[in-house]
Amino acid sequence: MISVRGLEKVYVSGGRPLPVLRGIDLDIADGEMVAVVGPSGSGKTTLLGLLAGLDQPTSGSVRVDGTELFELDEDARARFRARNVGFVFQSFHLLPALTALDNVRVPLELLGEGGAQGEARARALLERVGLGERTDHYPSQLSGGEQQRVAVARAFVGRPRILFADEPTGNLDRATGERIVTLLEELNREAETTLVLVTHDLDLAARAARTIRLADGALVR
Amino acid sequence: MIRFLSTREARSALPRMGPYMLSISLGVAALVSIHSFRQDVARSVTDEAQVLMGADVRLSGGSPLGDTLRRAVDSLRTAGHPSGSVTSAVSMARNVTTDDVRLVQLRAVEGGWPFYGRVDTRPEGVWSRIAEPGGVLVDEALLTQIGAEPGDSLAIGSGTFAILGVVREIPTEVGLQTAVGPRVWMSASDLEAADVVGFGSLARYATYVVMPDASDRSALEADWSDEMSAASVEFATAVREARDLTEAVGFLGRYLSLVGLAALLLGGVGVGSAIRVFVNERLRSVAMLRCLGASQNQVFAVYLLQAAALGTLGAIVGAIGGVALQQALPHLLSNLLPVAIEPRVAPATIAAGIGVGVWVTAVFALLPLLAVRQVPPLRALRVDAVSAGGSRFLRAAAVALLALSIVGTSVVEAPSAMDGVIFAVALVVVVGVLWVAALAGVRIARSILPDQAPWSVRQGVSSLFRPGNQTVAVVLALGFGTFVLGVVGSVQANLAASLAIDASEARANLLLFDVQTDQVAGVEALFPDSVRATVEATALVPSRIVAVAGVERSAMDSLRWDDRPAPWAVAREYRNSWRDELGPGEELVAGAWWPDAPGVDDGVVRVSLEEEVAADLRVGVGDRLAWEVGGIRIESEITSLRRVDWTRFETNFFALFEPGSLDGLPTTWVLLGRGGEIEARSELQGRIVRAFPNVSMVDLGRIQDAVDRILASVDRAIRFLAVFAAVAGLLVLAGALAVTRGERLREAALLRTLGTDRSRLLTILGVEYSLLGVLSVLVGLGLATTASWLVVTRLFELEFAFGFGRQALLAGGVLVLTLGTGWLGSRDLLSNPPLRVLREGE
Repeated sequence: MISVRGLEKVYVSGGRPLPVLRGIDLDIADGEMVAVVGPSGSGKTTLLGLLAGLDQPTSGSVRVDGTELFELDEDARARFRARNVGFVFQSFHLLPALTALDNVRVPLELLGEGGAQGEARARALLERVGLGERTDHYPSQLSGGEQQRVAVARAFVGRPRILFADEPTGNLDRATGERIVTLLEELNREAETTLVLVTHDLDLAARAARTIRLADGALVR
Repeated sequence: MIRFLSTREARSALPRMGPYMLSISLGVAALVSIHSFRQDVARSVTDEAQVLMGADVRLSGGSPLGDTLRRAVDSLRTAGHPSGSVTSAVSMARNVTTDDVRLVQLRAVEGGWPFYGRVDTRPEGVWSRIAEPGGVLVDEALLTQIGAEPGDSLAIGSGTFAILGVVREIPTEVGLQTAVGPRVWMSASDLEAADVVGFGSLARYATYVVMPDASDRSALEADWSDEMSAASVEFATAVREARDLTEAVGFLGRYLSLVGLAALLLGGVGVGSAIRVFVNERLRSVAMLRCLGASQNQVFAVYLLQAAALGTLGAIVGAIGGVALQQALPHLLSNLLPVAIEPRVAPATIAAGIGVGVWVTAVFALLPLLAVRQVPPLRALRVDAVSAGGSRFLRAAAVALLALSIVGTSVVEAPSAMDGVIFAVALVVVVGVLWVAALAGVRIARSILPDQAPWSVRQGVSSLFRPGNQTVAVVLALGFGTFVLGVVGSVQANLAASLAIDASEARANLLLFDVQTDQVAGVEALFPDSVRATVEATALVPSRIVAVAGVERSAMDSLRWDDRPAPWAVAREYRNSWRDELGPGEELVAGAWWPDAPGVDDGVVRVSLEEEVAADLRVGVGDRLAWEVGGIRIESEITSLRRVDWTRFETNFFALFEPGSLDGLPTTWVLLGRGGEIEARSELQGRIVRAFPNVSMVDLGRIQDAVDRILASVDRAIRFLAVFAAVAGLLVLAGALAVTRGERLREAALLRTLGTDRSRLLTILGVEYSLLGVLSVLVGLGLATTASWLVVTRLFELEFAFGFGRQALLAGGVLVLTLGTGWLGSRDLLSNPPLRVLREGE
C-alpha cells in the first residue's frame, strides 16, 4: 500500500517560495482505483510525480509497501519504478525510434526479462489492446489513440503493482478515450494493480472507487 | 510582419543554432585570414622586391662572367648603373682558439652590394668595413656553434680572418638557403687569399646591377640573351623574382583556402541539417501563421531571413576571428618568409568572406526551408493533416543553386578553374561516400546487432534513428575532419620519411668534397683505423655538354621543337664520374653495362645515362654526346640507360663513364665515410681542416636537423589549417547535440521514469557516440588512406607507408573527442529530474 505523510513541495519562483503541495496525508490500499481531481494548478501532477518518486519533496514521506521512497537515491528509485510502477501519460511518450513492439518491451528489458518470453508477452499485450497487426509500426505511423494503446500495453507489460495515469484521455477524442479507460479498468482488474488516475474529467473520475480532490495544494475532504 | 517575426523567432533559435553558426564562423575565419595574409605577403614582397635582391638585376652562373659580358656590365656602370658582385662558395671555418670547425657558406662581396635595403649588424655599422681585407662578418649561429666571439680569429682555407661582427639581418636570402650552414661575409680579395675556390668546387658567381627602369632591363635582357645563354648565365630581375615568390606563396595560400572553404561548406551541411529539425518543430507555428493569413512566400521569407541573419552573425564573428588569425600567421610561418610581413586589415576581403558565409548559410538552408511553404494551415488544428505536395521546380532550383554554389566558390578559391572543379568534385565524392556510409553504417549496425545484445546497447543503436537525428550530419562532419587530418598527416609523414637520412651506424654520416686527387690518400689516412675501411671515394669530373647527337649547342635553336633537347639538360654543369659496377639504387633499363657494352669507334668513350636526363636530351642508346672537360672535348657514345632511385642517400650521377676513360682529366673527389658519434666527428673534421684547408665537409646529421626545422615550419602551417577542419567537425557534433537537445532530454526523462538507472543511460549514450565515432573514423581514415596513397605514389612518386601507429593515434583521438563532446553535451540528461516527462511544453 501507498502511505503519504505530511507531503510538501515548494518551488522557488522569481526568488519567492511558491507552495504547490501543503501537507498531504493519504493512504491508498493495494488494488484500489483512485482518481485525483482538481482544477489546473492544484498540484495533481506534482503529487503524482512525488508518489512515483520522480522528484524530491520539500518535506514529508511516501512509503510504498514499507519502503520510504526518498531514503533511496535516484538510481535506486529508478530500479524501484522499473520493478513496481507503470505509467500512462497524457501525451503518450513513446520512444520515436522504436517500433510499437520494442516500445512495449522496454520495461521488460529494464528488468532483464526481454528474451523470447518477454517478446511473447509484449505481443500478447499488443494483441490485447487491439494492435496485433501493428507491432512493427513506429509511433509516427500510429494515430493518437493507437499510440496511447501502445502506452497502455507498455504500462502493464512489467506486471507493475501500481499504475500511474496522468490525464490518459486528455489528448484523445471521447470515443477513443472511452476505449482506453475501459482497457485500463479491465487490465487493472485482471492484474490486481493499484491504479492512481489524475484527471480533469469528472465522468472518468466517477468510475474510480475513490476520488481525491485537490485544491490549491491541499486535500479537500 | 516578416521582420517582426524573424527577429523574434531568431532570438529563440540562436542558443540552439550557435554551434552550427560557429562552424560557419570557422570557415569564414579561415578564408578571411588566408586571403588577407596572401595580400600581406604579396604587398610586402613587392614593396621589398629590390631589397630582397639588393639590386634590380642579377646575372649569375657557375663561373665568373666572360669578357664580353664583363665589358657590358662595365659600360653600364659608366652609364650610371652601379654594379657589384657576390661570389658564393662553401668551405670549412675553424675557430683558431678552440679548433671547433663548421661548414659555412662564404659570401664574397664586392662593389657596394646590396644597393637597396639595410644590413643590420652588431656592432652597428660594421657592414661598411666588409670591403677591408682581413675581416669577416658572420651569422650569429656560427658564433654559438664554434664558441667564438667578435674579435676572435677564424681560419678559412689558407687564410685567417678577424671576426668584425655579426650580421643580424640581411634581407636578401630566404630561409631555405641558409639551411646548409651559417654564412660568412668577406671581401672578394679575402676569398682569393683563402684559396678555397679551387678546381671543381661548388662556387656560384653573381653580378648585381642597379637598373630601376623596366625598359632598361628589358633592353639589357634582349641585347645580351645570346651571350648569356651561350655562357649559361641566368638573368633575373628583382621584380620578376618577387612575383615568382608571391605566386608561390599565393599558390600555397589558395590551396590552404580550399581547406577553409571545406570547413565552411561543412558548416553549411550542419546548418541545413539543423534547419530541418528546426522547421519540424515550428510546423505548428507555421500552420498558425498560415491560419492567420500569412502567405506561403511570407512564412518562407520569415524563416529564410532568420537563417540569413544567423549566417550573417556567424560570418561576422568569423571575420573578426580571421583578422585576429591574420596577425598570428606571420609568426607561425616566419621561417619560410623572405620579408617581414606587416598585417593590414583588408575591408574588401572581410566583406567577401562575410558574403560567402551568408551565401553558404542561405543556400544550404534553402532546401529544408522549402518544407515551410508546404505546411497546410489545417495543421494548426490537426497534427496529422497531410502536407500539400511541394513544387518540384522549386526543389530542383534549390538543388541546382546549391551545386552551383559549391562549384562556384571552389573555382573562385582554387588556384585554377580546373583545380576548383576537381576540388568540388572530390569534395562531393568524399561527402557522398561519407553520406552513404553514414546511412548504410547505422542501418547495418542495427540489423546485425544480435537480439541477445544487452538492451542498453540496442537502445543506443536505436537512438541514432530518433526523429530529427543528426546522424548523417555528424558522421559527415567527423568523417570529413578525420579525412583532412588523415591526409595531411599521412602525406606529411611519407614525405618526411623520404627526406630522412638514415642515421643508423651502418650509413655514412660525413660527406667530404672538394678533395683534390693528390689529397685523397692523405684525407683517408686521417680517419681512425676502425672506420677507415668505410670511406668511399668517388671521382667528380666537372663537364659541360657541347653537342647532342651530332648537333652543336650553337645550332640547337634551329632544331624542330620536338627534337630540341630541354635547355636545362644542355646548359647544366654536369659532375660526371666512372663506376665499374651499378650502384645499389641503380637499375639498367636499356643497352648493356661494361664490359659487355657495345663497342665504339676509336677516340670515343662509352657512357651510361640516367633515363630521365636522356629523355630530356632526346637521346637513346647509340647516340653520341660531346663533352667539354677542362677545355678538352670528349666524344662519348651512349651504351646504356639507367633508372636511378634519387631518394636514396647515395652519390649518383646523370652520366657515368667507363672506368679509365676519363683518366688524366681534371678531377675532384667526394668522400663518404662514417665518422662515429657527433664528438668524434667534430674532432675528425678539425684534423682534416687543419691538414687540408680546402676540403669542405658536411655533417649529415646536422643537415638532417636543418631539414627537420624547415619541415617543421611547413608542418605547423598545414597542421594549423587541418585543425580548422577538425574543429569544424567537432562543432558540427556540438551543433547536432544542441539541435537534438529537446528530443534527447524528453527521451532521457522518459527512460528514467520507466526505471532506467544512470549507468544504463550512460551505456546508451556511450554506445550512440562510440558508434558515430567509429563509423566516422573508419570511413574518414579509409578515404584519407586512399587519397594520400594517390598523392604520395602518383604526385610525389614515392613509396607509401600506411603508418599504423599514426593512424591508430588519429582514430583514438577522434573517438576520445567524440565521446568527450557527447558526454559534455549530455551531462544534463543525467542530472535532469525525470518529472519533466509529466510536464508538457517545458
